[in-house]
Amino acid sequence: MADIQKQFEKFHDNIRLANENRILKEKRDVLKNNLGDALKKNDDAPTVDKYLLQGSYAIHTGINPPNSDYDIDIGVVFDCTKEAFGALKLKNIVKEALDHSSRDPKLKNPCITIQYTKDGEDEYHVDMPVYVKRDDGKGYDLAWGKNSSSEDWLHSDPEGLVDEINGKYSDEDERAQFRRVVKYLKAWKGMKFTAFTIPSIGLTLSTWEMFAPDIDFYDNSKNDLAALKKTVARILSAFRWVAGVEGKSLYRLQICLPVSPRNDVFEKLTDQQMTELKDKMESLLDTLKYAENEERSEKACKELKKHLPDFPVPSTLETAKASVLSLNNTGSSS
Amino acid sequence: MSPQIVKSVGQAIRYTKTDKSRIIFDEAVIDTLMCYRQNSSLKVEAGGLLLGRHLKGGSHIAVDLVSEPMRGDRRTRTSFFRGRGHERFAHECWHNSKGVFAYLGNWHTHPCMYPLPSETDFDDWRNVLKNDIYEGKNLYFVIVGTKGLACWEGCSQHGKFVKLEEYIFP
Repeated sequence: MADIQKQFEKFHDNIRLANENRILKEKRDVLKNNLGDALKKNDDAPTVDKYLLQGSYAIHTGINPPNSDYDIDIGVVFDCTKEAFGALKLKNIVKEALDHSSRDPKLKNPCITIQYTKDGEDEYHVDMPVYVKRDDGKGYDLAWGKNSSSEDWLHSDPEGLVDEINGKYSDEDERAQFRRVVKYLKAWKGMKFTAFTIPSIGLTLSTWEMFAPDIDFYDNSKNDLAALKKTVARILSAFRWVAGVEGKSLYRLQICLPVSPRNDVFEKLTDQQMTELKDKMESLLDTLKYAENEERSEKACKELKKHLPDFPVPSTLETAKASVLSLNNTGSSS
Repeated sequence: MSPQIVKSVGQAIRYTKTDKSRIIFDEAVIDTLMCYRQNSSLKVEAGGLLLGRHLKGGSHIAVDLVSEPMRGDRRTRTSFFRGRGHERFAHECWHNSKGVFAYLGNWHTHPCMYPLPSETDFDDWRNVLKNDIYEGKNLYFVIVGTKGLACWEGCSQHGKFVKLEEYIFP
């Protein structure tokens, strides 16, 4: 078996969204201040109780987006309950407060989105879900909808989700490997799915439920290839057959949020799309198995590069020991 | 994984060495050797050296390239004489790879389906095992028959040759 842990670590360094990503932090702070100031001018607006750090940033599984459109999630919690406002009314108050010559906030069902561009290209976008408090103190109510027909309040627990995800693996090395495996799968998804998107939370929670760590008991050495392979194999084994259409079987994987509203995070994907996810994951698994068997690191990495974007491939010379200059006699065979 | 999937990734051939690690013949090497198969009565014997890498992190060996018949060789239907040019080729590879591409053994063809070494072959193998300079204590010898190849491991310590078993991924 080729030892390609070094290549996995280098790959991880390339894809990970560095924690100290200052720019994103600055953007978040600017937006929070602007929103706070604008809301103060509006007598109808409730006061902001707090902002929530959520999304991949909060669970340390952020990766550099393939199209460099960074994603910032900031939840805003108002100091009131759902009885005080209609969901849409509250979202519109926030939208107006954010409206600015250089910003064009848009209503989406779960949040308000602001797309920032630079030189005509998407640079990053901010997703801002709007919450209000609940009397029972269990999570929040999320303002849902973008028009009167979709308007609703949904019980949601973003902090509980972050705590659940961050709290499962108490061993520091296992937790770090879990986060790396999530990032590998997100990078894989970015490369393999262009016609439709697989929700990142789906891959994160699948890994969270079925993660199989691989860290040596004696010397603590990490084997990310094995961890990724075992985790993908377990996720694949959880797909179940749902229908056969024109001779082709269709499959689904159901992964529910571990907190309210406990819905299936893959619910928006069709059976065909879920089956495509399974097919592509099987192809990934085949390559991971091959890479585990292949003795020559450069061959293993070259195959992995077909599934993991820009996976580093060592040169053939790096993979071998130095040898003596030979002496070769002539000879006969028959 | 089933062998079919491995085949789709590459047609490399592996043998289990006596130390349980493997010698891997690259897909391109296999293609080259197959070109010299004596599968028609017009084709004469061919041969050359096996060159490649002693891989890090274990004792696997990768055969990445071979020298092919060249000027200075003598070839008939049933004999092959390996001339001086092969050593020059080996040295060129060694220099170009900054001392990584090593001499690993030699190969030649036989005009039969399931090749076995002749007395002449054993004489050559014993001679190179004893008098050549190479990395480690083993050399590998390949005979290419009309249907496929076979590989023997030679050990300089006791001058014996062991036919190796093909290795298929589990």
